[in-house]
Amino acid sequence: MSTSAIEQTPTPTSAATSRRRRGALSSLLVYLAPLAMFLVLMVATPDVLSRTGIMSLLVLSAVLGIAAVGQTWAVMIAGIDLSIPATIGMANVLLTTLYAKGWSFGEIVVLLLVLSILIGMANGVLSSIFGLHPLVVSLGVASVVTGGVLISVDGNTGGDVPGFITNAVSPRGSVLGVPLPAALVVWVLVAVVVVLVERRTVIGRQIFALGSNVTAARLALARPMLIRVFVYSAGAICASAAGVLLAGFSGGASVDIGAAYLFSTITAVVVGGTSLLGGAGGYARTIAGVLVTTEFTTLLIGFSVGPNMQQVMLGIAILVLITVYGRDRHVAHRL
Amino acid sequence: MTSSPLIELAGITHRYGATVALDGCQLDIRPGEIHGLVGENGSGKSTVVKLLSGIMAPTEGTVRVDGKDVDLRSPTAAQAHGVLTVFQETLISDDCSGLDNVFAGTDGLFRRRRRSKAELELATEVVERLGTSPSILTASPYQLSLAERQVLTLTRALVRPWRLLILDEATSALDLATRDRLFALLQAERSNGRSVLFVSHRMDELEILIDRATVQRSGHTVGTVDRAEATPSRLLSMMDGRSESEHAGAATVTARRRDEQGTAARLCGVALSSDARPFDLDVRRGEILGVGGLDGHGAVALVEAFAGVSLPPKGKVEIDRDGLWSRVRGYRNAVASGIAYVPGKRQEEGLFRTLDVRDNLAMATYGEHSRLGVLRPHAIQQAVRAQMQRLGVVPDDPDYPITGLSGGNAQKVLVGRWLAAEPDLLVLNDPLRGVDIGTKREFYALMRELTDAGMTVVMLSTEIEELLTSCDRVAVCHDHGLEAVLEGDEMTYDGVLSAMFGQAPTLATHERTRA
Repeated sequence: MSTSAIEQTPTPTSAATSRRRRGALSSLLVYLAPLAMFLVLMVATPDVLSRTGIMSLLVLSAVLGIAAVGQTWAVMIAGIDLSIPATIGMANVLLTTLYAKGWSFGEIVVLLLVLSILIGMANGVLSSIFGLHPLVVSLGVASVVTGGVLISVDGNTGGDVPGFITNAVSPRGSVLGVPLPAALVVWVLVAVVVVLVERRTVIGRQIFALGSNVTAARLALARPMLIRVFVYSAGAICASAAGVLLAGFSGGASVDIGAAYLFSTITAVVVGGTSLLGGAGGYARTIAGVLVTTEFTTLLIGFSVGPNMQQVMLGIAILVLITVYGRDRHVAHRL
Repeated sequence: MTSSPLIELAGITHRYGATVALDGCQLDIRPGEIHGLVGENGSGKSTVVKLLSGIMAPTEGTVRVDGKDVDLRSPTAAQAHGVLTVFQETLISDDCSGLDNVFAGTDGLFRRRRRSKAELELATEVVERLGTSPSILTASPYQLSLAERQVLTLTRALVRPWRLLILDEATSALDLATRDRLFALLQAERSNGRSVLFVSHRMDELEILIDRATVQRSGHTVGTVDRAEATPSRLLSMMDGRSESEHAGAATVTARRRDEQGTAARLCGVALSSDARPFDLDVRRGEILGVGGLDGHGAVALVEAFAGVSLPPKGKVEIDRDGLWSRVRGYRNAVASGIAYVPGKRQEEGLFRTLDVRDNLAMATYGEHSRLGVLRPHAIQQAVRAQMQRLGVVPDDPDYPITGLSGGNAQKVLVGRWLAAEPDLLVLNDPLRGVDIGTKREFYALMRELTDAGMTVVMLSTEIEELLTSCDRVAVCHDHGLEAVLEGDEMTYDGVLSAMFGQAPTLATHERTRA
């Protein structure tokens, strides 16, 4: 009996140990990447080093980071959420138009919460009961949301923005006397909650289980539809928050204001190293991915690369990364 | 008889990823001999068969035919060297006649309209030598019995110019008369210099048939023995590495106690398919009830019914909860009633491959170890450690990725996931498939420990030996019905096997069926 135990274990054990070391190394690289990118930024465009420059970078990261919560979790359950831009646009337009009509900010927040949960339920339920791919479901939901918002405001998307929202995204803004933009503080709070939910709650572990193996997750008492509704609702709530913050930048509103966030949230998730196949990764990695993505964009702007060329560069970056991570996963699967 | 082997495997190693299926395998088959290949499941027998049949190429090592290195890269290449294989599964297409099945693949690219007279005569001769009516060549295969279908696959090999016939558990579907005819045919062909590689779990068949036998254990070749040495106890001790004397008593040592503590769970008027005969089945508290049956005959449906995974089309499943019968209405309901289910397909239905041992072990009990949905890491760590120690999971590290564990250890984690829920009834769907013998032994001991403590176990196994050695009673399914429930003296290899083929021993005092 003892001999068979000795014979059995060495090969897989050593293989797994080296895999684990490689895993630890790759996660270290993910968390060092934002720092490395910042050094590049310092050398290439020194003017970013001003206080305002750094704060702008962090505020942009905060909006992207909050928007990317939903994408991270959707990818972790082996899905994807294409309704994030539409939800951002919905929150953006409803905030400005309803605020102009005299609604209080609190009333608008409640409305956005309810609508976000409805969006999450639509995504979660439809992708569960009909077995439709979330790609199709969330695209359909996105179209309904955008169309619905335009109908409800009669195509008139202009309005007012509460002053404190403008202040929240201002690089010179402060919270309770501390000179930090409120958007950044909100992001830190959101990040802490999201990471704790992933690591320290039942539903958090079940998110990983569902992404790893649906049948096994169900047999281990996870409820797939409930988890999907939770994931897409949380994502929609965060996307709404991002839409509200975006109103502070321009003052104006548009249902298309979130368009860029489809690609940038996926980029942030992938750069962070969360596998598109699900069951692994996490929001802590996405934070690193968000910082790198924002720094990369800032760098391109510093080199006077126009928005169209930025698209091209980001696209190449994500293709390279998916190739690298995709290969790693295939090797892992052969074991 | 020449000393140069007909076919030889020299230093063959084969890996599936990190798993070493064969490690330095040595096998030589002489012209005109019937060579046995024996070993437990997972010993590498089927890998040897696949390599010789050209289904896979070895990772390392040499295959020689008549002393020359060859590359058996495809089944066609293997057949060109005269290596023909008949598998346990009866690979017969229902869409064409028996004769077309026999000559499948001999036509080249396009199918000929009609079989030649010579082909019909050749096939008829072989079928008759096997003592079967030639009508199976013209009948539609779906009307044929399992044994008749197997005769077709045997004929398919025998009509071709074979030098080495590999029989991979190919006799298990045959009736005894046909089997004896086949053996006579093989012994006659032996004098023509033709050889047979006979892979079987049946010690009695090996004893009457073989000239030499090679024994595999955990991917290693233990050795090759001559006919005189190839006694069942000697082969068994080579197969599992225990001493021969341990084996002498092994079959009778298994304690079969029967606790008169009543019934833990029962099936009432259950039919496993909508047109199958309904039956009743009681599970006694504290027993290990084995469930067997050929693939597709309802054994899986039976254990899934107990676990509430899929409810039977007719009848009800009930579990005793403090003296009251509680009906099982679905999977979550079954779990809440104290039933736990360890699924059969470890990779597809059990493991979370991206997660570590802790998550894999504790996922189903995270709910119990939480307050308002927030986990209590300390309690989880304690529970996980306790289960890992009890089951002897190697390595002893909850942070280890589950994919780094051997199959046996991964299976321990899956069983631990449900032992942690402290069920009254543990339902296991073939838990030890592909698990090494050491782990199996530990597992049997653990099940005894659990049933002694009052747990009841229902265990499906595809291995008859396992049902006989580890269970108190064996329920055998045939044709989606309950063919027999064997216990005590009725629990013999032949008894279980006959029941699997619908030949329940007439003396069996099995549960009366409700017609």
